[in-house]
Amino acid sequence: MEILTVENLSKNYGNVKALKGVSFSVPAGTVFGILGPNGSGKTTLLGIVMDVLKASGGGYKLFGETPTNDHRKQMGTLLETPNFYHYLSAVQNLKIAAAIKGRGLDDIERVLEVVNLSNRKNSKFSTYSLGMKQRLAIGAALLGNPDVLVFDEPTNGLDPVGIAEIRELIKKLSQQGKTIIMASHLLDEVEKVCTHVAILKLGTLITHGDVNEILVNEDMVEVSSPDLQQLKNVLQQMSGTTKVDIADKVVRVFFPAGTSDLGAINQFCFNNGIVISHLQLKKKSLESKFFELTN
Amino acid sequence: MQKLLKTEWLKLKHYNAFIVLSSFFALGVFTTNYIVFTVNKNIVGKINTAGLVSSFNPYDFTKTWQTTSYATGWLLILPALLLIILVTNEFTYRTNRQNIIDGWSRQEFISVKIALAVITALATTLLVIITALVFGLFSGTSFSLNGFSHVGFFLLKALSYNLLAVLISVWIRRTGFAIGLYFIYLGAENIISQLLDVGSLKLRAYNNIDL
Repeated sequence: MEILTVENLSKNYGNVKALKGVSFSVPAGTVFGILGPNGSGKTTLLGIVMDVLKASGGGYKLFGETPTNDHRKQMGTLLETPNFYHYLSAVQNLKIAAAIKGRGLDDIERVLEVVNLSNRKNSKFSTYSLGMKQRLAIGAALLGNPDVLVFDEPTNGLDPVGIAEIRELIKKLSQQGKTIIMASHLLDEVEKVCTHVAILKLGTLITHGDVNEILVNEDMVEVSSPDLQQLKNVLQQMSGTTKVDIADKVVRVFFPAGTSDLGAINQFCFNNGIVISHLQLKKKSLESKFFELTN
Repeated sequence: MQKLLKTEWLKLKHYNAFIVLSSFFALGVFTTNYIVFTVNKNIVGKINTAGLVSSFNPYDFTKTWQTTSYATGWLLILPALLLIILVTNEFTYRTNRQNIIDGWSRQEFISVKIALAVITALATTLLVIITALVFGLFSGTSFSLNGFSHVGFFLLKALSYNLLAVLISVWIRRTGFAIGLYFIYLGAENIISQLLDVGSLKLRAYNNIDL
């Protein structure tokens, strides 16, 4: 079953087109990442899905049906910034959240344990640091153990320990069979945690699918010789390569990350009667992959 | 609606501004009426001219409803101010967004604020009834419900003050501007209604006091 289906969603803020006809669907039980640079429309998309914003065009479905308030009560959400009542403590704020959702009143202690806020649970929200506010927001999303979680930049404001904790939390929740929709611009996090990914850029969906197909991290070696086609044929017989193709007057040989051996390539070509005129390792960093995808 | 109101109570019961303003208002109701009572007793009651009844007590039972309603009517700004603060706070701290994300519909959010305005109006009316009763009993006259319609006018006044506060808060969404606009509106309506001499129910009803 598709947890969320987005159909041709558009959103304009006056002249600014934040979303331009985005369509994809989130299968159940996946960790679905929505990746994109700042200003790509990730928060707008999630805002529309959570009924905080109204779409200018298109629609979406939750759990295969027209979305209602009850659907939102079944989901745990963290959108943009943590919004709580400043004069109330964590426990009191969570009581309000539980009352609105209609569930989770008995879950407050557990949830505060999970996000490591038990020792500050009775302090007023206005006394919290940014990281604590973020953790309380994550805790509120976990109330009542919902089957679907929507996180918009969950690691915003967290220190490295906090980031690692959230990563472990998401992995654990995924193992329990929950569906998690996560918006982020941290390619690293998305790669480590997500099973599927949709990439947005300036409101347009560039690609979506399995994360292993889209965010492949591999070594690329450029090889050149007078006869490129012959070089390509020879290199295709070399073991350890994932792909060989010709582009821009060089033959590109792809290896799994970190396994390329320039000396071995040189030796192999020589043994097969080819003299190489150009041999260079062009490793794809994560950053350049991100830029490549979004530029 | 009951569930919604229970949730609102969870928001209110620990809010200092709510507790302080409500207490001030309740205290103010009794104090204002007591002041009026004492002033009348000490000054008016001592005047003994030929044409005036010597014991002119505005709190005896035929007039206590009207007097209390009139006197307390001046204090209705306080609950209205409280409502403006409560509603604009939700917008300032974006907790209105959080409530919707958690599962309320926009209608539920607004209707609970309106319900809050109505309940506050009812509560202040109840306070007026109790105060009027107390002062009336103290003045020694026998209980009567003559002129109870003035309490109905008070309820109308309280309702309109409160609902106007909620309307302006939802429209303006900023505390400072909302309070400013609210005062400007009250002043303008006062002036305009006197100019037009048509008299909105809020103002004319209490001019019966100068019999």
